[in-house]
Amino acid sequence: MSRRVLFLAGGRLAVYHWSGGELLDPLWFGADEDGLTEFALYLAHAPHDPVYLLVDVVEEEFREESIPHVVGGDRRALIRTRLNRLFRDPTYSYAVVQGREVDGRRDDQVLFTALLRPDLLSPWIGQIAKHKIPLAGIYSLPLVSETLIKRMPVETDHALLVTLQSSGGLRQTFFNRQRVKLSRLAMMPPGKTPGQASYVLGEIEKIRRYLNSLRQLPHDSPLDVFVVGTGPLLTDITRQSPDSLTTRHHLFELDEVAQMAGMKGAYGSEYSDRIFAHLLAKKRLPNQYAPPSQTRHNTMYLARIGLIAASVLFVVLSLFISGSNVVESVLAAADTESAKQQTVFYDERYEIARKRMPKIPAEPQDIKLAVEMADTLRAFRTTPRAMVMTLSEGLADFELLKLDNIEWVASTDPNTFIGRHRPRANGQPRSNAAAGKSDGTPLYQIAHIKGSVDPFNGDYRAALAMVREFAAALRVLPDVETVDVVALPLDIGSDSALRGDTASQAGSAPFELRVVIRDKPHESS
Amino acid sequence: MKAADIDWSMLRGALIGLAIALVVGIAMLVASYQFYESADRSLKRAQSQLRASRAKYRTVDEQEAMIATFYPQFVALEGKGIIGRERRLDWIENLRRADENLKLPRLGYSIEGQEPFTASFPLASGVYRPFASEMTLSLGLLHGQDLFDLLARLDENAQGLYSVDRCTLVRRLDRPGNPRQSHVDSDCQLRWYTIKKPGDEGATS
Repeated sequence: MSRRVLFLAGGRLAVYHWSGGELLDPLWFGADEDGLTEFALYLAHAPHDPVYLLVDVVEEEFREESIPHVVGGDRRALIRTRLNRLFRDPTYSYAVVQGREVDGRRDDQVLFTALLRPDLLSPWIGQIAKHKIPLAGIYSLPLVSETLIKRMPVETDHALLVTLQSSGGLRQTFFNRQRVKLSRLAMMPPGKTPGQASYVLGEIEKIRRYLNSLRQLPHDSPLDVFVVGTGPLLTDITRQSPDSLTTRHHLFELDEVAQMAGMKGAYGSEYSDRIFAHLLAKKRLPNQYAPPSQTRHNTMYLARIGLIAASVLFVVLSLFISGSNVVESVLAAADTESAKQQTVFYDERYEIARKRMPKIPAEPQDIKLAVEMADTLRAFRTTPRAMVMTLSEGLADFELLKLDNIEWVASTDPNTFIGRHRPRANGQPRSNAAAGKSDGTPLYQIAHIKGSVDPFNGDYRAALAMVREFAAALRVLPDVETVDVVALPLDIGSDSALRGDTASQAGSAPFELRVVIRDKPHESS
Repeated sequence: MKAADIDWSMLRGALIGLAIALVVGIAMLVASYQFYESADRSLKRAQSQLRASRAKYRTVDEQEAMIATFYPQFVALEGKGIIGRERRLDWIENLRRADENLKLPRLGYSIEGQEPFTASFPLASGVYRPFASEMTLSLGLLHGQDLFDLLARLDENAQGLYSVDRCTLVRRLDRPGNPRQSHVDSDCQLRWYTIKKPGDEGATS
């Protein structure tokens, strides 16, 4: 994605375009009326790519303080309060938590920084806002240099990074465990490298003493100084100041450091500006100094990008899903056609097979069911023959008993009502198993028999015994389920009235029985 | 960020683009889904028909075997008057012939209209259903055996299948007497079964 780095230093603004992973040569704009006019024209005509404003000015203050360890909104409020207290104008202020105290209540160690002269930025910010250019953030060069020091071969806790800036400044940034603690920009005297080397060494010594006074440096260890510059400058430094007990120099040429920063090709500059601009453009660090009101166009820009991305994503997703649906539909249509062809194939084969079969009035299954129905009806067909045979067999030994009336019925319910006699409620059949028809449903023959003792000689005792014996004889016959004596020749029960005349001739001795037999399965024909 | 801070001019194009993307995307999704649904429905229908055709085809052998086993029986049952139209005339003629042979003192009969038969036992049924006509016989018998001889003759000669539902036998004379005089009176209800399709309402014969 295209972006730009605006490098503000020494009253000038350099605009670096990021293209293809590299920074192009800068456009320069002076901090005067002409420069601002040109900058405005540039902004009006250049693509509205996001800008990262990197500031390298003397008027930047670094304060390290401890605050109670809190999180979330409390931390933000605490930091905002502290920024307001530390800096007179906190418009461009920033705080970063760098660690925690090892002792006490383990407060957070926070580095507070601020640009002390917002007016240096105002004209540029004004033009950026006027042209609705997305401002991604305003950045401190010393803080960005943390990214650089992490790419350099620094093995000590305490390091001083020394770089020469195009503004004519000498930037010295002190790191403790690769976290910025303080930074200072000193203006270099005009002249060639011999003088520059002695000036650089002098400034290094000054800051070393300052660090000692702040107790930022241990007394027994030297300060490791990482100087980034041109070859001649580094040669002069080596010649003029060899390593000592207090200072160790690590010298890096600009080309070398540019490579460490990921830049390709020859560096082509005597100053480090481009390295920092490259790192910022490449890493796209979170905003440091810009208040939300000044990054609102960037927020809009990001929202716009997000909306466009969402639109594209949705369309692509819709295309993908729709495409899948269409492909599935085409495949389904092909499968449907295949299934139809197979159906026709089977139907044709079925019809051919059907033509081989005889003409029948119904489906084969219905023919089968009709035949089975006839078999079932035949199986449940019955006549009174079995009952008559049973009664005849029972009467064989009772010549005096005559049957006058037989009411007969066939039923699947052995308790079916017949005649005057209703069977006992608990009168259960002897067994159902043997009476079952072909499907297990039993069929019974039930008879209500009226008979009499003939001739009767008036001996009721004998008549009663005979009827009871007849009933008993029936009960033992095969297939007989129940035999109930409904009426005896003489009702001698205490519940009934009994009248007679012993002087008169003997009358009749009628009796009634209810007989239930199991019907035998009927042979199918 | 407050609503007032939003610069709609920067978002207008993207929002319009999003709206168009939503409309186009949703339209594509709906159209393609309906297309897919339609194709899927057709496929399921075709597969269902294919399954049915396969199953039907697979039953051909089974049906052939069924026809070979049961159709001759079916035809025989039709011939016996059990399947198809009931043969009332044949029943009456057989009763008359039986009476002539047995020389029963009395033989009266009545036949009620045919009704669908509901069995008290399990009875499988398909398109063919059971029907029954109730015949009441009023008999004067010389001997109880005459009843069973009459039924045996119906069994042998009459076209149809019957079952005796109910009978009464009443002894009238103790000793042999006039052969034209009834010794035993009997009233019996016979149920003549017929199996047929409910729509086949052909005339009785």
